[in-house]
Formats: sequence, C-alpha cells, structure tokens
Amino acid sequence: MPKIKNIANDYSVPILLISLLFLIKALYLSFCVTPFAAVPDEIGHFAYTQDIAYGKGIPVLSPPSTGKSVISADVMGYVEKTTDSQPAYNWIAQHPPVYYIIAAIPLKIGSLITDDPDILYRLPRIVSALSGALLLLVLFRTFRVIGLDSSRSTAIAAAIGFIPMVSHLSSGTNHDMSLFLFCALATHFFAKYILSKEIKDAYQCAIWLAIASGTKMMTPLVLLVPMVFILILELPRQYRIKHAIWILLIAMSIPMAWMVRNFIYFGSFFYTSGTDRKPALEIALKQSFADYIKSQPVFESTEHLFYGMFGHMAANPNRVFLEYDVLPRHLRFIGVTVGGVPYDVFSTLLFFVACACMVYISMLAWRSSKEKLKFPNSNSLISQANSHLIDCKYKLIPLAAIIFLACYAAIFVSLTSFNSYIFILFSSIPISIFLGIVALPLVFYVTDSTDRIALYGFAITLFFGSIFLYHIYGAYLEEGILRAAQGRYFYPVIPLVILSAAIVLVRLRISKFIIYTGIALLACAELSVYIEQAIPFYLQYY
Amino acid sequence: MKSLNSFFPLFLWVICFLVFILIFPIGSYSNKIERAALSPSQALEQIPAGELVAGFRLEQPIDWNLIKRVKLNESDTLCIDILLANYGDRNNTGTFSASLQAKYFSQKILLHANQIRDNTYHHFCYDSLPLRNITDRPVTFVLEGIDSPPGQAITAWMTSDTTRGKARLNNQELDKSLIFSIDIVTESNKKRIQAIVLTLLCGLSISILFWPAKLKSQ
Repeated sequence: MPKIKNIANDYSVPILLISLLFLIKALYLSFCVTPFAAVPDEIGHFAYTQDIAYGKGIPVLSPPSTGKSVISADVMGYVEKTTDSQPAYNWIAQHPPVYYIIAAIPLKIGSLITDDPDILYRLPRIVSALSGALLLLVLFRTFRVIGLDSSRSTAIAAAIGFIPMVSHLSSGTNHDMSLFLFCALATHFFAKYILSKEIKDAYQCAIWLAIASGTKMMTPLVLLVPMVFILILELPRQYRIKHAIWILLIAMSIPMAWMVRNFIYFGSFFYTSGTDRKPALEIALKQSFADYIKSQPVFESTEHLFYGMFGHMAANPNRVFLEYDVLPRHLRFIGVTVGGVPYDVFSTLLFFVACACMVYISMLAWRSSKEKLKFPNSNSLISQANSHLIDCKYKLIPLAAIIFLACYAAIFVSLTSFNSYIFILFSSIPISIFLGIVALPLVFYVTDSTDRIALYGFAITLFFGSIFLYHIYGAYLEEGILRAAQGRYFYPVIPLVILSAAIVLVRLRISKFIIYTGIALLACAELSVYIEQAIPFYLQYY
Repeated sequence: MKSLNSFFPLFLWVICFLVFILIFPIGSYSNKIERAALSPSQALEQIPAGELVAGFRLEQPIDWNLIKRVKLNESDTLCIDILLANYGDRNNTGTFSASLQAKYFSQKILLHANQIRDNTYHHFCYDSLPLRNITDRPVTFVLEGIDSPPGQAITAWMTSDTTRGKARLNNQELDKSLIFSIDIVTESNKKRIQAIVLTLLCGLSISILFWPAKLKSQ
C-alpha cells in the first residue's frame, strides 16, 4: 500500500485536488446526467460486465441465433422500456476481458445490496470515472519524469480532463477510459526507462502494454508493436537478447492468450465479427486513397469525434435493427457531434501546439546537423547508430531528403483533404504527418534521451494514424460509407502524444501563463459543451 | 503587497470566468427545456399572407394529433415559430399581436413591427397556458394587425401544404396554411442544477491551477 507521505511527495496538492474534482465530475455525470446507453456501445459493455459479475463467465462471440454472446432481455427491456423484450446479440464480446473483470466488481457488490436497475446499471461506470481520475495523476507523474515543473505538469495533465469526450466516456460503462489509463502507465514506464535505463521500467512498460492489450482488441496492439521495438532498440548490449525475448513475451502474453482462444473457438486469431455478415457493397469500390480523403471528411470526422460526441438510444415506436441483431427493436438512435465555438477553441489550441512542435523539430534537426561526435551515453543499438551517423560525412543528405518528403506529404494531405477555410482549422493533422515522417530518421541523429522520447512520440503517432487510416479506408471500399472514424480509437497513443507536446513546451520554454490560459479556455469550452449542447440534448430525449 | 500580486492571475481568472458565465446565451441556466414537437411545415408555392395592418386577422388551427407524438406533461407549455417577413428590411412601424386561443384560455403577445427580421422564424412562447388548460381542445394561433399603417406593416409566409389545417383570413377559409413549427417547453430544475454543479466544478478546477504557487506548496 502506498503511504500517504509518499503520495504527498510524488504528487502536488493541486493535481490531487484536480484529479479529485474530475472524479466528482465523472461520478456526477455517471449517476445524475448521462443516461444509460448514451455512451457508445454501453449496452454491450454492460452486458459483458454483467456476464462476469453474475458468474456466466467470458461470453463467446457467436451468431445471434446461438445466444452465447447476448445482451440480456432485462437490459434490452430497460432501454426499450418494455417487459417483453428479447435478448440481443452482443458484438462487444469480441474484446478481451481485463476491463470487464474490473468493472464487474462494483456491479457484483451493488447486486448484493440493491436490485434497482437505475442504480445497478450505472455501477460499472465507477470504474471509468476512477480510470479518468487516475489518468490525470499518471500523466502528471510522467511529465515530472521528463523534467517538467509541477505547475506545468498539473496544467497539462488537467487539460485531458477538459475534453468533453474524455469526461463523457468517464461517465459510462466502456473500456476506453481504462485502456487510456493502462496505456498512460505503459508510456510512463517507457519514458522512465529511456531516461534512467533501469531495466525494471522496461519490464513494467511491457506489463502495462500486456494489460492494455487485454482490455481491447486491436488498437493497443498498434501501440505495443512500435513501443516494444523501441524498447529493444534502447536495451544495453549486456543481456540484450535475453531481455528482448522476455519483454516481448510479457508484452504479448495476454493478447497472445486471447488470440489462441480465438483460434480455438473460431479458427482465426483476429476474430471480431461473430456473424457471417457480408460487406454492404457486392463489388468493392475502386477508389484511390487520394480520392478517398478528398471525397470523405476523414480527418475532420476523426478530430470532431475525438473532441466530443453524445449519443441517444431510447425507446421509440420505430423499429430498427441493432448491430447484426435478428429482431427489429423499438429503439431510436441519435448522435450529436460537438460543434460551434468550443470545438473551434479546441482546434485552434491544437493548431498552436502543432506549430510549436514544428518549431521544435526544426530546431532539433538543425542542431543535429551541427552536432559533433560524442562518446555514446549507452551501448544500446540506438546509441551505436547515433554515434555512427554523427561521424558520417553525408549525414545531412538523408535527413534533407526526409524533410523534403515530409513537406510533400503534409502539403499533399492539406491540398487533397481541405478547402481554404477548413485548411487552417485542421492543419494540425498535416503538421502531425510532417512531424512523424521527420521524427523517424531524426531519432538516429539525436543524442539527448528526452528529445528522443518526443521523437518516438511523433513517429509512433504517425504509425498508429497510418494503420488507423488504412483500416478505415479498407472499410470504406467495402461498405461505401465512412465508418469507424472514431477519435477515441487514438486513446492508446494519446499519452505519448501529450508527453511529446510536454517536452516541446519544456524545450521552447513556453510561459506558464500561456499554458494556463489555454487550459482555462479548454475548461470553459467543455463547460459550454455540457451546458449548451449535452444537457439540453439529454433532457430533450430522455 | 507581493502576496497580493501573486493572487492577480487568480483574480483575473475569476473575473473572466464570471464574464464568461454571464455571456452564456439566455436560458443556459434556466429551468426550461425546449423539445421539438412539430418540425417546420413544407414551403410549397410560398406566398405572403398580406400586411398585418389594423383589421387583419389570420387564424391557424393547431392539430393536437400531430403534437401528441412526443411525451407531454400537464405543466408543459407551447412555443410556436412562425415564418415572418418585413418586405425586404423595410422600415415598419406599429404593433401586431400573436395569440394562442383555446375555448376558455388564451394568451396574447404584442410585438412592434420593427422587431421582425425578413424571412425569419419568430419564436412566440405561451408560458401562461399550461397544456392541462388547452390540450385536447380546439386551439388556434391568431395573428392580428393592431395599428401598423399600410406600407409599413409586416407579413407572414403561407404554404399550399395544408396537411396541418387550413388557415382562415378574416373568417374566410384559405387553401393555404401558415409556415410554422411547434416546441414543447418543460420546466425542470434538473437542468439548472446540473448546469450549476458543472459550472462550480469547472470554476474550482481552474482556480486551483491559478492559486498562487507559494501557497500551493505550503
């Protein structure tokens, strides 16, 4: 058990208070504001949690007719407001069980005390609220590791709690907030290892990556692969192979176990459907990627949905089909994406941070080109590559070529995707593409570990974003509509993105007052979203 | 003096936050929730109803069957949005009335003609007429000219889509209908309480950030 004195040493009073206030906000939203089923896929997540809490075990993803992964009749009846509702297919059973085992604890305890569904159905939300509050503390500790002072660390950690989608998800039963927390912990130990080179940190990073991959299918794996690869690059020569194997085994342990289970049950490692549903289009589209990002609002939708989306799913005389369901339901779906001034404030702040990152990476590239040979500070693969490159006569040529390529890619995305007005608002996306491409070779030129963490952040974000884009592009060709452009899918990589941004703020010596003003604007924007958009929306329909 | 200066950012934040709350649109902290009950009618062969001068009276019946698709409470009230026009931003004078009339109850809203913008829906809320007094009874929305002179009065747009009932102009039935939508207004303290709690939490969180650093560490 951590002692109170240790907590007081590790965390400042303001971050403890801000985290506590976030917890109060998330719990208040959970029990008094956010209606049941308003958070994405909440009925599915709750049904999975219910299966574990009530001893039914881990559901096996299967066609609706077999009834092995179902949303129970009582949950459907609660949403449809009828007593004769039928169970529904639970598509959420595709995910591994780590989050659901944790979320089952408050539900199990609650079920021993009350049988009121208005309380019981909201109890697993406590886990999301706690995850959100702990996330702020973990981010704070991570910023302290890279040398950011306590005040700035508090402000930047608090910022994440003022994104409406984060507070919204913290008030619902879903695995996204716990995944966010686990990935933040992995990022914390990742940064700690690169700075201190204590091998136990690399192992702790691997453990949290494994836990994150045991929380959700797919997206944590896209973080796990590059993070483990970098850890191996950073390992010292002594026992390198032994540590590399162990780190890989630990990180892959839970996802491998889940994949083996999938193979045993379904004959496929990455089984996520549970039905033999065919794509919407009989003949897949033959559209180039350039035409795709030109014709579809891919980047705008993703950024918009990252900032905020509120849903509504409630009883209605109309009959609709739930995902892959066999029966029509008396339900209605309405989703509103947060818009207006709050979103513009968020986009503008994001743009300024992206610009600061661009200034930083340009300075870093310039400095690296001038850097003279030094003794490598460790005998890791990256340090060896670094010492060879610094001494190389033609070291500037590949770097200049990559910067040219990065400029081309960023300009191509800007010109292809955005018209004149939107170009300004979404330029943080082309800038992040530029940052990712330049960071890839630059990590081999930079000797400072803190700078290398920032570069790893940019590079991993590019890798993550590319996989995400490839996935939704494939889905578009098969379905004919833009699907799965959910900003929350980026949560695994966000702690690393914020860490990179924090390093930029340290290096550019951005004033505390500017950071505080930005955070205050974010907080007011979030408040405005709830008061003017979310609460009236909920009360209008529920 | 030095410690007073250290409170300046906090003081500035509190002032800015109070200003921010005050510039929220009216109604953000009220206990009223508006829900759409009837979407705007279709504008087909749109024509103006004529100038709302003295003696002008246009009645539009309200069909309860169309409104009852949404959940209604006895204490709810109605707001009606009517598409009005001022003849290309002409300088109009005088007053007109927009009333909601049931058998025993009615409420009249008086408005100056220069308050009406061209080709814009105007929002008329009848908060003195709870649904328990008017529901299931014939209800009519009435536009009357009072003292606007000809050439300086506003008008209302009409549509040939009469599925919501035919309008009557000076007691003569028309093959036209006003272009309108209806909102239900529900009073609930829930909204106000939720807004206040979230405002307090937001204000407190940022106040902690702006709290002077020296005092934070004590």
